[in-house]
Amino acid sequence: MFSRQVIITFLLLLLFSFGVFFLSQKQFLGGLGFLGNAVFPLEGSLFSLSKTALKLSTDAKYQLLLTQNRQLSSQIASLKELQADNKALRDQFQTTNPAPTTLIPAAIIGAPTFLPNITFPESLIVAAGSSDGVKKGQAVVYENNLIGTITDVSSHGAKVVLITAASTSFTAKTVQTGALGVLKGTGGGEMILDNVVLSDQLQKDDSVVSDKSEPAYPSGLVVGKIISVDKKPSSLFQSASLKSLVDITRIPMVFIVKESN
Amino acid sequence: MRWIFLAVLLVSLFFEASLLQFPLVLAVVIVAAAISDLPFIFLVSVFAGFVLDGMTFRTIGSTSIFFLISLFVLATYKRKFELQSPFFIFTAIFLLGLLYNVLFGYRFGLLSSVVTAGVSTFFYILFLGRKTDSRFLS
Repeated sequence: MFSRQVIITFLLLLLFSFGVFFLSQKQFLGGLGFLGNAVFPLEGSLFSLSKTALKLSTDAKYQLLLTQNRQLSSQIASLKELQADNKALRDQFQTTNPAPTTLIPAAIIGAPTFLPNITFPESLIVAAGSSDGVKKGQAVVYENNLIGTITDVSSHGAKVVLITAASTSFTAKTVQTGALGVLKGTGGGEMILDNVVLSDQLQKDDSVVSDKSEPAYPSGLVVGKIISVDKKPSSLFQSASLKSLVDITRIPMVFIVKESN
Repeated sequence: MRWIFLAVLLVSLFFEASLLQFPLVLAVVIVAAAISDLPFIFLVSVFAGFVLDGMTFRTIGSTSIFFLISLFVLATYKRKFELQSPFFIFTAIFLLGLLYNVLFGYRFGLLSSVVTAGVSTFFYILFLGRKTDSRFLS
């Protein structure tokens, strides 16, 4: 049915792929660091280019300007990107919690599950890896807002699972009333503060922060703001819907917390 | 022509890894497998899989294994079906894309498979149609 050449090529490559797969599973390949070296800068450029392009395509005025003066627009876009980077760095280093000395700045170079105006990202890929001191399990912040956790690290890149992702769950409390609950991501850019006892009070617009009983994150980091409360007298617990204060789709970089307090 | 294929593959690779979780690379290698010699496509798909795994933090090799087995299964139907027909291209990308989305945990699996299959078939008809032969990428 197949020529001998096809079958031999297939079997050799399959064997090779399985070999690489098992070596990678046993961490022998270290996430193929050299791949990161080569592809992450390109991935970052493409991501920012596509973000700019998608953003501009939604705005008719920008689209018109773009066609009239394409060269000038691209210069402005790259200048704005630099300005946004500078602003993010300046804002972050004015924040005292977490202390700026414990942070690793990381540019966002990918958001694989993100479709502008359709879906909200579940994870991010950032341009900082083990060579910069990034480790699995470290918290990721923007100013004093908790963004997510590092789940995978290669030498020059890392994957951040956002706190809004459905897999996220940790202890958090409200600022004004001190109500303690379990924060869970719901997937669509929102979260719920669940398992709050009925005797505790939940208020709309109250901020929710990470609790000190939570080992995964530094305490006092802002998680979000309550947008609605679900309290039924017949239930054992009450819950609240939350929204993050940070629009992750609009920030150019995040900061990885080296040590948790 | 190989250079155009490699350029399209590279662009789809970066798009799939950084922005759209659609099975774009799979679609490109399926279309290429339908019109080209298999050993070359096997080799390219393995290395594309390695790069994709590296960029998306999956276990290196998993995507390559999927690509290889998928292409081999497709090739076994070469005698039974007209592999270059747009209907076959659409069906193959849709079904394998759906499986790929489920295995690798992509969201909106059904939607992304339909969109990818539709767009790929459209471009296939537009640019390649039925004029291709087995020497297309050689």
